[in-house]
Amino acid sequence: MIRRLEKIRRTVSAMGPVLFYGLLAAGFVLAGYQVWRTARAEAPGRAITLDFLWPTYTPQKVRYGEYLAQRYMEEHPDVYVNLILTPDPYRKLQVMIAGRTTPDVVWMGVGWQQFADAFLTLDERVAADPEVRAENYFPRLWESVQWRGNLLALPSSGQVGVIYYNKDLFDEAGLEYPADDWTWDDMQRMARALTRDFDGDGAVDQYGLQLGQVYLVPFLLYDGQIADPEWRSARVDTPVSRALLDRYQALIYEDKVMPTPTTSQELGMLPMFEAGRVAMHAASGYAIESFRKVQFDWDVVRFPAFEFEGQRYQATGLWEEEFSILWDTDAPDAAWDFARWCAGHEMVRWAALNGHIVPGRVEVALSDEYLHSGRRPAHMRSFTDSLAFAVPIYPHPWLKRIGIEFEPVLERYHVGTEGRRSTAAEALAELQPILQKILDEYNSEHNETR
Amino acid sequence: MTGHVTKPGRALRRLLAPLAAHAILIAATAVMLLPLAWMVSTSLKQSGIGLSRGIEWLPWRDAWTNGKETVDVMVLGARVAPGDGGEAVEVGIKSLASRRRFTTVYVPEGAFEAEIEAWRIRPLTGEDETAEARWAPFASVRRRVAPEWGNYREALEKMRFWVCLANTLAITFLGTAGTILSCSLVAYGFARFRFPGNNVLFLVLLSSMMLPSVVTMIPVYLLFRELHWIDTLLPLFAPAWFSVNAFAVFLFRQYYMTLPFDLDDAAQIDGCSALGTYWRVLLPLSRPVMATVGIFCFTHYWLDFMGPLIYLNTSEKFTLALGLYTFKGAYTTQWHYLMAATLAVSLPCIVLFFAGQRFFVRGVVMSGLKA
Repeated sequence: MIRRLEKIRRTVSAMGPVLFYGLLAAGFVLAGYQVWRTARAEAPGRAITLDFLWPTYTPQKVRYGEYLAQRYMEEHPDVYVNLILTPDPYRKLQVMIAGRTTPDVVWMGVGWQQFADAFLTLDERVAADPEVRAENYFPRLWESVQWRGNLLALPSSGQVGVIYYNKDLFDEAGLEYPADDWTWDDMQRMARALTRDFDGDGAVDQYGLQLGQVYLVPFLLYDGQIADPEWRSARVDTPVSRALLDRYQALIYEDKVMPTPTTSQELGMLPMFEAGRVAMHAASGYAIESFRKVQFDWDVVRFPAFEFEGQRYQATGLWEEEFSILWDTDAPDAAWDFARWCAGHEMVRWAALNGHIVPGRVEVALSDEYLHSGRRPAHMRSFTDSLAFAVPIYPHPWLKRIGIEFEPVLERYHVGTEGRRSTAAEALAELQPILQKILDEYNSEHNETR
Repeated sequence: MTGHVTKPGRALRRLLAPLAAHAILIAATAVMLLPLAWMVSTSLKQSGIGLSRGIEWLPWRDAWTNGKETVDVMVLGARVAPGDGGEAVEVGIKSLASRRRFTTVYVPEGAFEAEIEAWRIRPLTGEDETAEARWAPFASVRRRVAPEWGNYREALEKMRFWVCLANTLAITFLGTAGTILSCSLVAYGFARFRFPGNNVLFLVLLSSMMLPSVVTMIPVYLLFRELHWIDTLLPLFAPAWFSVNAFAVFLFRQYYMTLPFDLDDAAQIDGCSALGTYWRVLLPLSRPVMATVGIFCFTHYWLDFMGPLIYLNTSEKFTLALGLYTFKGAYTTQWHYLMAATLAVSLPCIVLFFAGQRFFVRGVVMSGLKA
């Protein structure tokens, strides 16, 4: 027995190098095959190839992009749409521009302005194309794809912030559902009634309201954009913004009807609403698909108006979705045709009915089939109504820098640092010169003066 | 005589010292493993539950049982109903189809043992009493651990795991092999040959480690564009064959320095060329440092995100690191899928580390590197 075992051991030892080199060779062969297989050039056999940059934010988003490319190629046998998928379209496009391998058409979403210099101006093409009309799109959305008077993209969708509310919790509390003309006072009153401590341990079990830090910026916009229309003078610090931010802070730290930012971060904002721990929750249309799976009844309502010194102010954030063409495309006509097709009636309708977007085209957004599809939310109109007063978030080529420099100030106001929170007045007084400095530097670099 | 006597205090210390050391190590290990445990736990939860109830280590679900069968249910509400032996508490339940995962109510932990008044369950209305809903005795509904094993299958399908895996394996294998071969050869030159400027050249090589990769990103991208390598796997592993990894060269050189020159002399006397000495003598002796470099390279290529992000355009060529981003959107994150997929992606790294731990530690020690 021992001899037999020893023989086996010797055989294995003798085969060791053979096995090792065999596996190594097999590894080289298989890896080489994979590299060769993926390196084979696609042979589209079509006259025109369009490189189309698209984000992979969700599997649904990927399906949307794949559908656009596939469907367009079916309808246009001479065009090959090369779908370039990326989880980070901003960084990818930066590198592609620097490497002069720019795609022809891109979908960037909010933040497209940082590439404003790289995009083709579309005004002339729109003027010459009878099928593309500004009237087809919501005016705020159409404005949002322009920079200093130049149209740089065709919009397809406008995501706006609305308030989602749990109707079951409203019923339990005996409250009427929020109406379209509700105000911040109404919201505060409802939030107080909906905030509950069931077991009496002093900790809130159910919050009335939840607005995330992302919605602080829309609150800065109730009195209009944070700069003048030409983006030369900052106007962040206004009496309306101060009053609104004061109210916001009071909801968290005085009324305690909103979870603190730390709690929201720990428990997750969407999951808290989904689990019935929050009665009202601010979110854009991206939440619809997820919320459609929850069992309780819910609906949406536009952001409330804010009454201040006898006047009503209203705003919400606008996150535009659009198609742009790179200025150095080899096939500008084909790229234009593809972009207008993507933002055209048929594709916007398809994407809206399949839950991919909140349509930016008026006739789709106001159609019966979209507004009364029988699926939640019942009051889908809140989204399209909000487009009337929605304001784009930092629509400036240097929006990234604005966001980065605003962040710590808003953090100090919202969460606090070293045991102290800034007041609304302090935060706004800090933001005003920060923005002005950025605008001055941008305008100076672009040879413009205030 | 006294040398044979063990004082009781010393004996106790001998007993307690290792115990204390082990207790501290076990506690530290447990702390280090907590994120991994949370990852496993979240990967087995229902959609949307991952973070909603705070930290819950087990994937709970409400279930109704009649002793013979168990059905996952959603608890709709509660009532006090008259029964044979007086009043009894009943709960309104609704069967959960596999896709209907959310409960209407938030039931605090341990609520099933608590009084009904402490539950945050709304009273049922007539509308709830549909064909799907029914009343059941309070005792027939229990919380039970119900892991969602299906999350793994769904996550792997959604991220096209096998496509990504094939690409990642190819890049990792070729990148690691290239690094080991090319860097060991360059290090051999630095360690075994005396020539003017040897140390200066080595310092220049090391100084390339100080350059952040973002600085060279665009020039390297331009280079690969000229080679028509964009949207192929080549830019991700081919540079490894040209000894671009200064850290690996450093490790190999330090290791070679510990080997006696007598080995080279003996090989030369036996007629070995310089390359023969490298291939037949030094390389076989370098297994520990090869394992160390191999593990470093494996984890680098396996987890590399920036390279594939920049060079790959089509999903058929995506790597696992890019595939993971499918679940991390701009606005929402699908935590249960992300954690399931992350675990699947990290598993080979964990296995490799344990398998090569002996070599890894030895290589690190012998190359003079402090971990």
